[in-house]
Amino acid sequence: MAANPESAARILVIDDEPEIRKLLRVALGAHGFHMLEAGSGREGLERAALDHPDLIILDMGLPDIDGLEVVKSLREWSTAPIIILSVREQEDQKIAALDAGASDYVTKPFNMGELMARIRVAFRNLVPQANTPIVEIGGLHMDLYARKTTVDGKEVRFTPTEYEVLKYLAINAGKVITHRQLLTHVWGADYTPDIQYLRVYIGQLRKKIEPNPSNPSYIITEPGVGYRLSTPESSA
Amino acid sequence: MAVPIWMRASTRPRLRKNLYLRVPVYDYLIVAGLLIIVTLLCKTTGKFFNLTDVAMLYLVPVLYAGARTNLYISAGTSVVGVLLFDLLFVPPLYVFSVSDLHYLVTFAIFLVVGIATSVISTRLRWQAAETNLAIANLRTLYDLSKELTAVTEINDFAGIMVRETSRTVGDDTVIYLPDPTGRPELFAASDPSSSIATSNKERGVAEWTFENGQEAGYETDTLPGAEGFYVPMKLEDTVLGVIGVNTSKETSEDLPEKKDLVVAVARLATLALNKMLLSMTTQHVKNLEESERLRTALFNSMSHEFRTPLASITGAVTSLMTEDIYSADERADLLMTIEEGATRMNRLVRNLLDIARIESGTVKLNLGWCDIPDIIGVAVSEYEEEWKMRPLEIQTQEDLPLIKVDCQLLSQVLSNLIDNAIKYSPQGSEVRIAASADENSVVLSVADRGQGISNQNREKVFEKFYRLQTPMNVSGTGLGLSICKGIVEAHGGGIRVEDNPGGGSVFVLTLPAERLRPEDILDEGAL
Repeated sequence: MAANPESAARILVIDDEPEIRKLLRVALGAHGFHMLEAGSGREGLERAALDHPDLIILDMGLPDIDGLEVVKSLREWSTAPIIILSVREQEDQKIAALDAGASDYVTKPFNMGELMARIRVAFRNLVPQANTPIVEIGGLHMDLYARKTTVDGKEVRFTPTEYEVLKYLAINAGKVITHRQLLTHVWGADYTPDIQYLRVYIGQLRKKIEPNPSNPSYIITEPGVGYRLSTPESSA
Repeated sequence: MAVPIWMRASTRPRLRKNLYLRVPVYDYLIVAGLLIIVTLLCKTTGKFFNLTDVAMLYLVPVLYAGARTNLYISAGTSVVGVLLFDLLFVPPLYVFSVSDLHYLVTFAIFLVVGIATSVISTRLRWQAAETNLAIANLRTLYDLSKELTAVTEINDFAGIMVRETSRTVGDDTVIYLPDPTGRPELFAASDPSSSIATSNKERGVAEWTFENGQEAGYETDTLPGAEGFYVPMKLEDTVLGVIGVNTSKETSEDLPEKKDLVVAVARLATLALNKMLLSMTTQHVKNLEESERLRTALFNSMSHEFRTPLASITGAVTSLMTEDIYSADERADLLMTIEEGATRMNRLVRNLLDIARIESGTVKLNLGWCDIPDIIGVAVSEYEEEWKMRPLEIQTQEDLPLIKVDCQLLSQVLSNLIDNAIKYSPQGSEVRIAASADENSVVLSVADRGQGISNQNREKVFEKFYRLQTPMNVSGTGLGLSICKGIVEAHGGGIRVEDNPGGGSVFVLTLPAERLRPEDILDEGAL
């Protein structure tokens, strides 16, 4: 399928590796996106300002500007979703970028299906979710309006905190939520408890909704980063 | 044999000091009392004692004074004794004169005995005191040397040195050690705000000592205006560092002794420092050798390990590019081969980075509270495709506590073990993962249905590059298990392999991790 530059969503790829840009050009084009590209952080910021892309794919290891700085600069004026591309060694930077407003991340070497799924989730999350009070993922059914949750048709009861955690993951389904985002959202910005609270509540939630809590299929751990409620489209 | 320097003490000032030695009041009283008792005893018993006996009895207070007081008092006691004896007992009575010149000899003996006793006992007491001091110094030095042998870090060494020296000598202490460029640098100070730690003049003296390898500073021939007394830590012609002690507050009597002590401490420090520098060099050489060995082994193993997946990737890609004869299924198979090869290579790179980190000793544990089922889940999810083809059983004890570990590294240990379990067991056979906790530790295990590991190989499999010869001809670097071992040991735990009842092996990790019960958290959380 060839992209129609007039109507296709435009994705800006900021990565200094020509091979990666070439690969993405082919893959994004085939998925119907129009790709803009930049080989450095400075160029990326310029392109973003001039061309107003709908989504930005950003490599953390740029030669000129630190990826985190690029995220911060972009967030000063742009609300376009940013998907981080990083290698495993850039874990801390990646978390900082997510907390600074990046939408999601994919670790290099990446699975193209996974990247496309992240892009879809990012676009979907642009649409306000409040008017869809029903979240349905596999056997998990959450009615946020009636505060009623069922797993495979059976009703599950939660403590208020458990419910808040699950609800926040659910309205962001498919998107990675960092530990800090989840803690700040559930416990409030003034009182942010330690990560172990989250681990316990996630453990409890998994016991209630996962068929096998040690091999979860709903609440996926993003090691060192946070959690993600899996959706059919977020997994490759 | 040369007398150790801290035993050689300057005797003269000490002895002279003892002449004026302060004498407790009760000793005066006892001496006076004894004189009175002897006088009364001899006077009241009349003719019971003859004159010789009386003279002998008067020696008692003289001896006491000699043994317990100073030279002046014992000499005085002798004189008083002589006078009393002469006045009260030697005819003619009640006048200071003698009828028989013979008595003058008795008086002389009296004086000599009194003074000699005093001199001898004073010297003995002084020697005892000196010995005690030497023993105390020895003990201090011994303690210091014991403490220094345990030190491996140069900063710890400097810290202990200034602390102990200032404690022993009783004055502010600084230590200068060469910086990487070889310039002396103030490394530690017992009191960083003290004058010898802050003044530029003092620094100048320390630098002079470092350059010239000679003592300098307070009351020495060089730069005597300084407050500090600076001693080089010198081994042959190399100055390893400088110790400085602010001796300017010492009295002139104590100064020589304190300086001797500083010199002794400096010698001890020199030996300890030298030993530490040598062992650092040895360690460095060892590391170099080890990294050389590692490099060779890596080259041998890597060239093979990287080429294998590369070969399959290249093979599959070129097939797809050049020949259009494959069915859809065959094309899918070829693509799968490429993906597998790439995944394999990614794991290789990860293992290489990990082993490099473990080898260089820079594994930093990012400790945090982790949920055990979560750790297992992360590891298991890496092999999603595999679980479609073989059963996976996960047994976790109910109510496992949170444990304080590096969640990601521990997941990686499990991932490596799962990778092995899959590689070394028949397709379709079961992999079982179990987790339990008792009072002391958390135990995680990964069991497979492979051919098991013989007794003599159970230690060796954890060594770097050691690989089992198996009929399955499994590829690998021989790094995975040594990485596991490195990570588990960094956590203070252990890893071993056992027989799996019914066939296969079980790899067991034991972690003495700090734990937190979920209930405690939830109770807190309810606040």
